[in-house]
Amino acid sequence: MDRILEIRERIKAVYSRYSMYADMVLRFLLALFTFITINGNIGFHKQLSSPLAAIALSVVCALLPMNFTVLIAVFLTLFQLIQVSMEAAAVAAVLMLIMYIFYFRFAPKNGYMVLLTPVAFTLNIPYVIPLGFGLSGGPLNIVPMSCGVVLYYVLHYVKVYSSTLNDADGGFATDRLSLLLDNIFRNPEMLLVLLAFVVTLTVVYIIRRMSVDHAWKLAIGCGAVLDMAILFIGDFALDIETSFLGLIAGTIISALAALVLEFFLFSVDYTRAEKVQFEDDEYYYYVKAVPKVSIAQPEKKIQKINTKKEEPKEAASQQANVIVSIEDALHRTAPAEQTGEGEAASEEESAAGPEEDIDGDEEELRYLEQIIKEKQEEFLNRENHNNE
Amino acid sequence: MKIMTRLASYDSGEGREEQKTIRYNRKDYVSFHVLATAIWVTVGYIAAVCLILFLHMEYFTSHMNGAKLIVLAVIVIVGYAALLALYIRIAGRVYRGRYSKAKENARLYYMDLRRLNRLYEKERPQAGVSAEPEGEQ
Repeated sequence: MDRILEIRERIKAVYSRYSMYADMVLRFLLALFTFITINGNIGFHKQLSSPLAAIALSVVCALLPMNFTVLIAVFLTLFQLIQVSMEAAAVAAVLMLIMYIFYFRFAPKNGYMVLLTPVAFTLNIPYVIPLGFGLSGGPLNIVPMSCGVVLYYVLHYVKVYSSTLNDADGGFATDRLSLLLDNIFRNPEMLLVLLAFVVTLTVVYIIRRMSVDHAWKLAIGCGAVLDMAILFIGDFALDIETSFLGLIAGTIISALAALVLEFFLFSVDYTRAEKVQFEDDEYYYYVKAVPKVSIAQPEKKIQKINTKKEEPKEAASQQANVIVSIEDALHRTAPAEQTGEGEAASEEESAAGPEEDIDGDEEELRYLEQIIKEKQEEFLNRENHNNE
Repeated sequence: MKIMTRLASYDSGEGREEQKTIRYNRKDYVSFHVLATAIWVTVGYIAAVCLILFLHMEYFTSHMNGAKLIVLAVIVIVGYAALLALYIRIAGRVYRGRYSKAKENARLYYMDLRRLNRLYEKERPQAGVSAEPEGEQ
């Protein structure tokens, strides 16, 4: 366990050191998977659907803030939809406008959440979305998650019925529009997935906020089982063709991914949990304190192999320092010869008489001898210390 | 170094937007955004109603009469009023919060600036003293 915690700390340290580049890589990957999802479903424009175009756009998105990725994904989706059906593009545009007006104007930083849901569907692990959003956020995450689900099913529907939508002889535009809306919003599979995801996210959020031991693991377990149960029963009841093996495998992988998320976001030691109770004038407090699991980074030991070679240099530099300091002392004690003020002082001294001048010289010499002795002793002490 | 990093981070990040925000009076800022929200909500509501109308086009064309049309119009108007009231409330709260946050961040920013200025002033006389002898020599 310590080893895993150590790896976690190292990952965190590496991320914090290279966060700028790590964020760019993450933005690139999200953009790439988003464009692959869009092109995989509605890639009707040949040039724009090529992998090279997706990579080029992803590189651009990696260098720009996250909201530009969302914006480019929106424009790419609309452009691809225009190729197959103007009505489909209009419906998608109106849906995106409604999503923007009613949610993303107030939470522009959550735009990436809409992209994550279709990407998770493409990777066959959509069940990770309610688990992850429930663990990392609050019930408001239901809105971007639901928007993502609706957008994915719009893309999916256009992919499946592209030939019908592209048919110019398929009746009036209003009929095609009505048919399109009918098939999107009355799609039982989409409504079932929406229901399952909303219930799962809510349950995961409620359980992980409880003060029971291992609340996060319990939330992941309950959420995964509940999600699977709702989809399982719903598929039977509504007679929807689905792969149950895929559902089970997807749920297990999603639960494992959620456990990884828990490891990074919420790592506590329940064995050292403490329950304390205290009161003030107005309330009684029942507090459960659970310590976070943390591990100190191992310190790097640097062993110097060639220390002996440096000794002569050190000794020489110390000797040079002593000489320099003696010279400094000499300059400090005999400023009269160098500065203008000193010249004036020496004139005063010469005017005072020869006896006083001799006395002053003797004092200076004694002072210099004392400083030289001190410096020599200091140097010898240092050398002795180094030899020891 | 820490102060300078914090200042640079603020200048190049959220600071730009927040400096624009605090140029306004609090009341003007909130009122402007609430008004913008009301307009956006109106546009969004019309779009959503159109989508629903298209979705139930068949039903409306075959079952609609004068009385039902009036009931439908009342439902649409009441729905609009309720939604507008809800969003005005939400927008008021959100933009008041944003303004307060911008003001607080700006206060911390100017505090850091003053602290940095004091550090510079402390260093300046010392630098002057150390530079004098070199100049004389």
